[in-house]
Amino acid sequence: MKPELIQKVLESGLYEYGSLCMPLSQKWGPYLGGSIQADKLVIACNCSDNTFASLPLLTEEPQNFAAGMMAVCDTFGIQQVELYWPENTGMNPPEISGLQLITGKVDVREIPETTLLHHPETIVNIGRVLNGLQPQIRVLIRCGEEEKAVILPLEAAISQMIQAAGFSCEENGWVVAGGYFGSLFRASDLDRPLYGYGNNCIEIFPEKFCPVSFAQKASAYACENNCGKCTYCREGNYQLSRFLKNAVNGHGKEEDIPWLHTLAETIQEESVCSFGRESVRFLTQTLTEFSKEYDAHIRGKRCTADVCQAFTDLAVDGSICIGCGKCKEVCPAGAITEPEGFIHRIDPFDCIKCGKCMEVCPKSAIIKVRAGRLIGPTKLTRVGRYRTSRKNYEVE
Amino acid sequence: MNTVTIKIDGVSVTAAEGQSVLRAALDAGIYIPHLCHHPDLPDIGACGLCLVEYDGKIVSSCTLKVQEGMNIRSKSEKLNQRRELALKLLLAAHPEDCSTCPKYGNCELQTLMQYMGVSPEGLNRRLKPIPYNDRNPLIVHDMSRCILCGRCVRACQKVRGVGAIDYQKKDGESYIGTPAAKLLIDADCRFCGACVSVCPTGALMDKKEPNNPEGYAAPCKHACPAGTNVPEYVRLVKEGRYEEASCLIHERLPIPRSLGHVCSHPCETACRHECLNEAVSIRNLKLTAVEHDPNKVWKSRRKQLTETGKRVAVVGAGPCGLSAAYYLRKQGHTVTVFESQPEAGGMLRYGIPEYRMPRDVVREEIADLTETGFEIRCGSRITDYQKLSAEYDAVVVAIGNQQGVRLPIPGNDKPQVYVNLDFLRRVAEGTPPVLGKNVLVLGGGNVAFDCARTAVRLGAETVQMTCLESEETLPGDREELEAALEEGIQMHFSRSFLEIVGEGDAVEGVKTIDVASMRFDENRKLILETVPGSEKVIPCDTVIFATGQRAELTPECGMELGRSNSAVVDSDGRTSLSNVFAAGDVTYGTQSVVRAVASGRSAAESVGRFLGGNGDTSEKLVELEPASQYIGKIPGFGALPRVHNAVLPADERKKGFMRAEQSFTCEQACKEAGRCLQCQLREAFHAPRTWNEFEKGGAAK
Repeated sequence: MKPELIQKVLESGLYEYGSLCMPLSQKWGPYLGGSIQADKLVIACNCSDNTFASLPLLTEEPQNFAAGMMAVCDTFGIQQVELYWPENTGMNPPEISGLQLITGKVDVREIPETTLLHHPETIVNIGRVLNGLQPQIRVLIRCGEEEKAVILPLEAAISQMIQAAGFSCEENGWVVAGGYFGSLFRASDLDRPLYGYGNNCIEIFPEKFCPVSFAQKASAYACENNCGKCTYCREGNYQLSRFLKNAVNGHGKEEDIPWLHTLAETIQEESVCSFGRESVRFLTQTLTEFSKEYDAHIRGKRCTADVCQAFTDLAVDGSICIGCGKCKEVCPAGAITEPEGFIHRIDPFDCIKCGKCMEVCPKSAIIKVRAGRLIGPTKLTRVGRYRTSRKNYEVE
Repeated sequence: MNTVTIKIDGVSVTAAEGQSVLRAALDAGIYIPHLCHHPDLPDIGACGLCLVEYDGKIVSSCTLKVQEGMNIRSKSEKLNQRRELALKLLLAAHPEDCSTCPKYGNCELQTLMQYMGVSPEGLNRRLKPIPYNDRNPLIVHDMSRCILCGRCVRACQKVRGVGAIDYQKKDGESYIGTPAAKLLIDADCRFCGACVSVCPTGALMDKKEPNNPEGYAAPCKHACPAGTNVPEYVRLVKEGRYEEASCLIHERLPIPRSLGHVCSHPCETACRHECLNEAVSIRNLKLTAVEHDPNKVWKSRRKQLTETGKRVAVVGAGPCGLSAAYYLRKQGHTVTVFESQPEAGGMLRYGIPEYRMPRDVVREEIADLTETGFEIRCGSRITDYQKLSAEYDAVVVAIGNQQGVRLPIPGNDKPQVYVNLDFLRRVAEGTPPVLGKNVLVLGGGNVAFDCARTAVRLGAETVQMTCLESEETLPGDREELEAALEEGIQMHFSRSFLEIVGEGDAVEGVKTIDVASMRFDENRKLILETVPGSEKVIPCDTVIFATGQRAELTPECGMELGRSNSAVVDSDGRTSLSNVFAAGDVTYGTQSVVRAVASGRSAAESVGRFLGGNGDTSEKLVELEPASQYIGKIPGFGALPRVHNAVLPADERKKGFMRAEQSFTCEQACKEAGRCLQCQLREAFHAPRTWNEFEKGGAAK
């Protein structure tokens, strides 16, 4: 690649994203300066990449990919190129000549200095710049069951990306940028680019969001998908998943909270690859910014967002119930057993919180209450003989 | 080699360029806790224990390369906390109870736990739900004890170049195993055992082997009474380096070519490949090596000490006596061997038939030995040991067990009744006795088969064998049984012999009774249970007793005698006569040629010390490079069948005493030697050094 083209690429502001996030100028420095001679180009997703949002670019923009790949090889005198295609992407690898296709993830430990490692999107972007286009980022946006892909300039704000996808988000909603390994933002705080995450994906939660529950899912995901080689990520994430599971199920203990901090810090600092480092990003952020949530779940045994089912019960308001028995008919768990004419009660032990009883009650007498709150009688009582205490109604 | 100076906790340490900080510390006697590091494996920084502080960051010292002027801290509040956290995390996933683990007392995790004094209190304990896997031969996987240090994977992939095991995942749990949970043999494991050698805990262990109770890494060389370096010479045969292999063999065996024909191969019995399918055909490989050796190199290098002027008499020129004479001669003594028979060789010349032991081989090998300058006086039978003892500085009695046992049953003295050794000797001398048409051999050992198969070759119409033992517990080799059946010999198992019947002097049959059970008690006395009413007569006109042998010693010889007239010896091989030693079968009963050879050498060493020397007969006949630790992957390795050497068809070989078995071709030898698991490579792995072996590491908290 001619020097003026190299200059063009470096000035385009292109960066490698993920936990080794840095501008291209910084990454290419030692190779351009001659202190390291590159002899291989490896194109691979970050170890922490689990959405593979940029892989379709290889089939969508093959000419940009080819141009970028050739330009890099030319510039650094590289003859050997390997492309790592992760397993379980749900996509078939493209047929590209001039490189060796390897299935699996790159083992960061095995990469010597003489191997230049690039993200596939970076290669495509180099090609775009050389072909006179702007570098862009391909992002997956998810809201509920819907998912859309958008391609926007690198510095586009998250709010713009959501708009481009055709979604909207209320001011009191939440957005997680970067998937399980990302960060949490309020919907009012989205004037920021999608920068520094291993996954370019955004998930919108328009109404309720519980960070503890999300952190628990992230640690469970980490356990399922880590390579298992380093102790902190492997065992640490297991411990986190257990502690967070207990928190979400109402079995958290006060002593667990310092463990969450210690484990998050250690996993982030000591993991060898980006998977481990990124796996606790969400937990680290929310432990500091949303510490009240963790406190509430673990000490207070409540979920502020009313997401964690362990903390809410379905209960029959004893003063409204007419004893018709429709709820008893539909209950799949046999949690309601009173005869007709008596105030019906839902046994919280058996209740699986499917909500069918709520749907069929003709008087809307069944509501969600905070676990342990009583809005009905404790013993078998005839209809009409009970008055609910008002304060027990509130679900905080 | 360039060196670099760094500081660890204020102490100056000189390290080689390119070393890791951990290695530099350990080499300098500074202990930094570690688990996944192993001196013979590349480092990956997996366990998280060897953390040090450098340049404001906390990093693994095993992946941090030394640089001039580095300043490293290995102990601090934060480092200790983090290190303890790593160990706690590992312990939380590990079985609580050490005492039931087979690695107890030998476990690096246990040792580290003692050093650091932590327990996983406060963390969630679990037992990994990966089942105990003993479905594979030779190697047991107990993943509940695995700490995922990855040493086994590195040993298998990087050091051995095989890659049968790797990190796997099942239901969110990481473990080490084969892809798709295959059996090791299907993952092309080479069963070299490197993974077991490097495993710090009880996760990977050797399975108990019935033929290797001591659990030697390479049981073959320990099973050989002569201590022959089996794994090394097998490797050399595979590489076609026959001369070097032969030199190596000659370091421990004086008559390897003869042994290559008849050795009872305890090495093969102990061979670990037997646990996979069949043992390696080691004896044939040895024969291949020595057959291709022009015998120049080892002869030119063999040790010969200067004349001592001492005179030693050896009685008996069988394998034991020859070995004793040879090693005595090499120590510089003047040796005279007294042999009662017309030729030297003992059992090799007058016992084992020629179709198994070609006589020219025996003669050539004896010549190789007498070249060193000792005399064999044939036709000299010694009866007066005390006289010999007075005439020589030392005497070695190696007369073997030359008296065949004639069982005390009625009819045992009829003319057509022969005894094993007399019979075989007469055949070997060229004057075989006249046999009848229908020969019955009593006995089930190798000597009985020798007699029976010899009778076939002498033209008997029918040859049968009968013995106490059942087919399963037959003392003779399986190969002998198969060959005998092919040659038309009929077997009658589980019979006890009562009487040789016949009118007058004639032999008409042997009356036998069925054996229900048999065993030998602690005094080697036979306890027999027979089936009443099961007497029957096996018709025959000639009987050969092949029911054991004894030493030809009588109390008049002056030596203290033990069971079956054997010579009683102490641990140095000395008899009760002052300067008389004894070795071989005459001391311990009928065993094997290889044991006799080893016994003779041991006696020679004892006599050497007795005569004022140091008794060291060891010699180095070849310089070898260490075997390569890299063995590579061979698809289908574990299932490779044993190569069998060609054998003459029964119809052909029955006609005479020509050699029945044929030697390996070079191609066959290479293929068979390639089956060797190379267990000895494991011995090169360094044993782990525990914290208390380091000068500076501090005691446990």
